[in-house]
Amino acid sequence: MATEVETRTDLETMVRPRAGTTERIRRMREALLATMPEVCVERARYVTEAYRAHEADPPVLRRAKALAHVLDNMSIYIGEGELIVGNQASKPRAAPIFPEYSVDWIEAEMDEFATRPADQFLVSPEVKRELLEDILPYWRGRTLFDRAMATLPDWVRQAQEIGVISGRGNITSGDGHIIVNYRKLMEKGLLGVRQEAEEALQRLNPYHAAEQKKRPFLEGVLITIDAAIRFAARYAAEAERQAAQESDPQRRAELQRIAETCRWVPAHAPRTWYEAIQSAWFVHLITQIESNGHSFSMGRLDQYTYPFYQADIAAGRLTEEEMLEVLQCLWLKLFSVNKIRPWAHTRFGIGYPTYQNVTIGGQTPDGQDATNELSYAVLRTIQETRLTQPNVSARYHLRTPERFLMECARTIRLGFGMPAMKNDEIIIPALLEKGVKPEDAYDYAIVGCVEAAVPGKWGYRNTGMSFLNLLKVLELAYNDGRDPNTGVCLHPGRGNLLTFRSFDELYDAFLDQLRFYTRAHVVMDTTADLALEELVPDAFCSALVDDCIARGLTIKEGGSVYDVVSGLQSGLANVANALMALKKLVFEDKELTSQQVMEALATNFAGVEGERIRQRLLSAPKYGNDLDEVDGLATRVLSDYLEDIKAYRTTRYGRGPIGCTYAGSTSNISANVPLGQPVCATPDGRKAGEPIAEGVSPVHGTDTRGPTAVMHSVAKLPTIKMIAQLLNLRLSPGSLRTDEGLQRLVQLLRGFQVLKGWHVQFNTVSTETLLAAQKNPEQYRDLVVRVAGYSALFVTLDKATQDDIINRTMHQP
Amino acid sequence: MSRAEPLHPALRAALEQTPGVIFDIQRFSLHDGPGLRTNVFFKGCSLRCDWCCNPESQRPTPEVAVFVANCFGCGDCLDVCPQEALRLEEGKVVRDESRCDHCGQCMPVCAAGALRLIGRVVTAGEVLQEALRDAPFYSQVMGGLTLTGGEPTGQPEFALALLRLAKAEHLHTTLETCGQAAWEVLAALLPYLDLVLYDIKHMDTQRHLQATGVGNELILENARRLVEAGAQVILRVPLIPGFNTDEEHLHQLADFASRLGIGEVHLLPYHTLGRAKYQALGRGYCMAEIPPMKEGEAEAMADVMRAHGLYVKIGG
Repeated sequence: MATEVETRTDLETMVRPRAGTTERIRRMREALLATMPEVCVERARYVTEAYRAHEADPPVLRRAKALAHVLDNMSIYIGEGELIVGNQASKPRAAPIFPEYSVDWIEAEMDEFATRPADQFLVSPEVKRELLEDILPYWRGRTLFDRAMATLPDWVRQAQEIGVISGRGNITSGDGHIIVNYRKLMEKGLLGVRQEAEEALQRLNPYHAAEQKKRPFLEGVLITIDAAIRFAARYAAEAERQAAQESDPQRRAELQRIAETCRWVPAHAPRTWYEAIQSAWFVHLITQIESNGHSFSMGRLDQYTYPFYQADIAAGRLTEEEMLEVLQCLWLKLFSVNKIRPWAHTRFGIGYPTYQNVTIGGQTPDGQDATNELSYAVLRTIQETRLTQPNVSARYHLRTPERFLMECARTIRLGFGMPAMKNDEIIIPALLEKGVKPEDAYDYAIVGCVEAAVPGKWGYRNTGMSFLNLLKVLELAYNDGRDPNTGVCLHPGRGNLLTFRSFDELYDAFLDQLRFYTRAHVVMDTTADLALEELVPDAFCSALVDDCIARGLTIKEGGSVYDVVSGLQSGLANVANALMALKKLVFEDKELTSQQVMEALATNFAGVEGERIRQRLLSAPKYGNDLDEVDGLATRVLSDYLEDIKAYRTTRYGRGPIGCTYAGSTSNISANVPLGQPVCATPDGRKAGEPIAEGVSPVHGTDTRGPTAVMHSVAKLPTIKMIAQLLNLRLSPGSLRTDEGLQRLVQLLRGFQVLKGWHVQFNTVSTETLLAAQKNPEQYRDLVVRVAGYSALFVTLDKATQDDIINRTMHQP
Repeated sequence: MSRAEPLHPALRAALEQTPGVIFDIQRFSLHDGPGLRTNVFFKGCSLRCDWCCNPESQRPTPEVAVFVANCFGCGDCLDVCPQEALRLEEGKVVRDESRCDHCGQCMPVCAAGALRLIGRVVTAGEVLQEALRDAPFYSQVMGGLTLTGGEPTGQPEFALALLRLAKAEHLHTTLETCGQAAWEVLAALLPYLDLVLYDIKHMDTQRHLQATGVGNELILENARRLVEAGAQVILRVPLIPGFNTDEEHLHQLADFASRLGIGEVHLLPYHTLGRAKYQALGRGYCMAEIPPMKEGEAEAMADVMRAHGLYVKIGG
């Protein structure tokens, strides 16, 4: 879907420095952007050493010692000009290795890391040697992945192989997806948390087996917190060392302040806003060194650090400009974090994503508007740093100030897809619906891309243990349960398209397959969860999630207050479109016979006859145009899935958390591309192997009635039952250059709010996209243009006008 | 301020049943009145401007357009055409314009969407329902319904019915018109209009006649009367290079506007987005020689008019 907004996001805006950015930030930013990511071996080295040295320990204790060993020994640095310190790997943008999760792919793909099609990493010969000779051999056969594959039922493995479900990410990389309790960190520092763990240890009944089993975790908490404090002290020492040699008095003072800060936080509660930011960064960083997985998020940064900011401003200790510079230093730090994943997993999310989310705006736990100076400062930081990480989510509610929305619109216009807009008016009710207490629901923050969770109280991964490919399920349904690519049949069907006498029979067959593969994806989750719980428990991260310490349980054992997860339902729009085409053309109007359709699908719409049938299928109503019948099918499919998934529980069920249930989520990043590959031609007119639709967005090029119609279609879905929902709208350059234009974007957002949509993100259309559109206009039929007095209806049909629009779009200021 | 009257059920029913011919309802329109709008494009126009970007709007009745690029040469349409106006050449459909009577029988058999019927008969009630879909998006900056075309005053009963229904729903209403209409028609619509986007192409009636097929006397007179009657009017001028963009003419326009008391002017730079539509309709495009306007040119023209104290915007 495209509307008109200015873009010029490309090189020019990436490179051009902005007024307000200090020389320091400019220099650091340029250096960071010029850095080629590489693989860092240090974490792998120290983790392996520690695992070898502590074979006898229970896993949680062994891992705590491993984290401590890494933090005590990894290279640390304070880069030139840095105000916020703490590094994830030996160099900025370098990715550490987490061998305890999986190693097969490292060995198999290492030589291609630097040359693969996307997300490349350099690997030095020394790193390669150390990995191959010293590290990987130890791990072969004993990683998380090995365990999961050994325990995964055969039928579930096969379901993954034929492309109906996909859960690789969790068993090669682990969980991630969490916001720890930063508010608590601000209130009592890590020593306060340590105190809680000590008290809990003392309370353990010495002759009660279940209680004694909690001891390793609580001891692990002490070990990792002590290690975190030592880690900060290393930076203090380094800052002192640099200060002693520094000739510039200003920098010397900065280094002395860094030293003083790192001696105080994260051990203690911060005394200033600057200390609060440094403390939050240390903890955020350490959680990402402790465990693999991505989407570690910082939560409501503008809320939990705000009291410090207010106090500093009142006391005259801090100026707004200083605050902005520190915030931008933090942004550069967040951008310096990197992850390397197997190619098979990388394909599901391209562009070195780490999904570190920062949430701004929204409401306070008691329902007041929470927008403050820091919320605006974060927007300005995006505008000035122009980096792809962190992800920023802006919460908005009915009383969100217009000024804030206008600033969001101004930021969106830059073309980074940020901030993503999150609608309190549906997300809060959706959380309440899942049993979340009101004060917690009002305090939600975004994890990763679009998932809502209560910061510091929710377990890992409220969304996304495994993908469920709904379009593949449909394909199996009209092929009697048999995969046309491989001939594999895991669940015999109820016939095929030729034998179904009515649409209802087709739909029932679909539901039957859906139920079977829903079960498969839950089994996949359970297998992964049990392996994660047993092999890679995280003491540090769990220490900072309520009520892990009080219960003496890690997150995976059921330590968190809340625990609602979801699968990732993908291809909803395609399924609705395909069902609609079959319902209308085959079963109702009988314009096509099922024989014709099946042949066309089998031949991938070959020849004039195939194309005729494809065009007929394409002419059926499509999801995303505010057409009730086809939108209703999307709603029906999702509702039926949600009804089915209600019966399942997570592995934490009965162990403490509220929930332990499954909800819906359509957040599927770029997985729509690989998920399309194993699916043959489908009755929505999609050719074999083509991508499926992303999130709840319409299939590219099929939504021709503008973004308000798309929003209407999306809003018909049972959003209140979701835990995450993703809608991407494409914007093309043009008329949102002026403030009046921005107001129209705000109006669009307000309308979306009234309709109770969950999330909307605007990706502006780059020149490259437009050039691609010229080559392949069919995919870009939604690239609508709005010019005064001009009816754009027929431009969707005509290549020449499409070219005109693209030229116009490209050349417009 | 326009009138938002409660409608008696019988009157409402009658208004809802009022038929009209339109060729498009476009949601999320950004430039034809304040805020986000739903544009209703009326079919039929009293002018024939050379540069018209919506040539499909000109004829008052439905017509068949041919989008050759979409055709994949199945030939199904050849068999159903009662006039034998269609044939295939190099795998693509070709229409004999002299034979085609726009009956539209070819359209349902065309799988590719290469043959499309432009224009349909609708009721005012149907249009209102569609316009109300986006009501959640109108609230903030007074978005609403815009009647455009074509020429909405060419279907006065339909336009009036739509506006009365829209006002009863408290929608903001805008009329875009070329002004070539009997004053009584405009006067009847006026109570239900929040804004009029009033097009003036040229101040010289001879030039106006040459380019549009009619002189400008009625148009200029109606503009004056609308302002006098209290309508909120924005002047719209399509900027057509070589026709109405010389400085002297811009001064004349500005002068006219400020003397009337019109404070806002929209300059709409000439563009070629309508070109392919002519092809589809089997008509020639007489603007073929003129390249689209360059960036900055329109800005200089706006400045000429701003010197008269007008608020001038480029685009809508």
